[in-house]
Amino acid sequence: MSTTEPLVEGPGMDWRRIGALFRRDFYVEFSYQFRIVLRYLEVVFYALIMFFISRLMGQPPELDQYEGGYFEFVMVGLAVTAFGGLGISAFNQRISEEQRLGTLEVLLTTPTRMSVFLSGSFVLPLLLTTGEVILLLVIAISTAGVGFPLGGVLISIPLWLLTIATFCAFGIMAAGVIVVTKRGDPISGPLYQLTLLFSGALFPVSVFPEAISWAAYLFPAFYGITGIREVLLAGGGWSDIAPELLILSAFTVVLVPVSLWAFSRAIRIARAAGTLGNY
Amino acid sequence: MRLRIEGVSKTYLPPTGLLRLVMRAATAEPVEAISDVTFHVDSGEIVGLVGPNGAGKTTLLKAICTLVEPSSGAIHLDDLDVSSRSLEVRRQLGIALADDRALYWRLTGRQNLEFFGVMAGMSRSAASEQATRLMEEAGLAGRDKLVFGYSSGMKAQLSLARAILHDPSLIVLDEPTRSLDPLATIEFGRKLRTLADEGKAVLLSSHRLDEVEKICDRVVVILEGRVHYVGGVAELHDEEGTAASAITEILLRAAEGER
Repeated sequence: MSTTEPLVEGPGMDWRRIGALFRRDFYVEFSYQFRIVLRYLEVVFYALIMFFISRLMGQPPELDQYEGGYFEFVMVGLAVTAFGGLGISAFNQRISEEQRLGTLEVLLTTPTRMSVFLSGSFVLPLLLTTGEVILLLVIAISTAGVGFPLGGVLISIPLWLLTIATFCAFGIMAAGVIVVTKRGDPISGPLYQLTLLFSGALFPVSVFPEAISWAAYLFPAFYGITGIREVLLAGGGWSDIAPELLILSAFTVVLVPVSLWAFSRAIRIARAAGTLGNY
Repeated sequence: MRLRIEGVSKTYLPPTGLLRLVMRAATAEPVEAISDVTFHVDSGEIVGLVGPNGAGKTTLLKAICTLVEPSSGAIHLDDLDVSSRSLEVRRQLGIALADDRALYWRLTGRQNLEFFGVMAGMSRSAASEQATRLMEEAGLAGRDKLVFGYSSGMKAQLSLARAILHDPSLIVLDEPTRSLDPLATIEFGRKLRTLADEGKAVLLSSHRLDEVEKICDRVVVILEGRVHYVGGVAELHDEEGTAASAITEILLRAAEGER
């Protein structure tokens, strides 16, 4: 074993592991080539459906504050919720997959911190979803002639990142539930549906009856979608999205540590019960 | 002394409170899987863990590997407590579980080894170099392909290669030769001896008593979660003919005693 160098832990090692997790996912994902083609075809069809629905709707007065019509409005909403769906479901799907493959226990006997495992397992899904979002926006630009200002695109980056972070926090909590229950996570599905309903992704929240319009403010995605539309479709700048940035930051600061705590607690429960590898 | 297991017990408790609503236990009653287990494995030693199905072997191995939290007792690898310093323990741990699913079937054997090498803490180049060497040693180098195309024996060889890839000081093997042919089993025994001679501690769980007799220095006989015998294989030879028949005798006597 003379070729083996001493094992040295540190931040560099964490990055190496994240790279290894990415390569693993890349090889596995691209061994199912057809699935990737279908995934992107689905995005194209979905965008086309929205395009024709938007032609039917014309220019609703509720969207007067934005440039363009319903198509541009809904494309931005769908782009944000695409990341939302990813953040909410990526981690519990990964855990379920590792349990099913029987690799979770072996991975947990390596000196890999859980946060590194979760981060590394998120890289490829994030890149693939970013590809979907770029495709959505390219379709929006090419079919409806939408032009997103470059300055707005750059200003929107922190909003995208913070929105993804809050979704990931919920996703990590959902993964914790899956570690314990094995199947039947009560967080991902309901949260995604409620987000679609209340965050203003598909329609402006101003159409809600007053009695329930307050619910939108409970969802981090509402702030992300509102802020991103402001800079991409209404010519807003930093000062216009400052409240959304602050609120999303507060959500992130609270939710991410809570989710990591909940996940490690779930691992402890499964370790005590001896059910870590069960599925 | 490399691995010390002192008075380790594990009782699986059924979930209580809110957990009862979402978590399913195998039984509604507490199950005492292992009770007051004590033994050790020295550097340079191969210790066989023998017992019938349901004896508590897998629970014990999982407790050593940080996958199950013992209810009481302590497990130390060198000076490291397995429960409180699990990350450090895992750096020195190599495992091969009986479950041949514990590989990524959509990766090649080599990709599996390189992945787990880095996860164990190796650089990518060192993991690649070791993977090449171990694939050659295991006779897999010319036959590498996606793991779903591997035979059971090839998967077993790959699991073994993964267990020793990062040069661990403790190697824990759960029925590692279950799918190996006789020649591969002999070769495996030689490989384990070489590793032990390099100073590694090896704990090997097996149902194959002939294998335990040939490979192991000492044997731990466990039944119904309790240790019934700890001693040298050579001593068993002296007392009762072959060690395998002596171990069988110990198991039968222990089973009678438990009844």
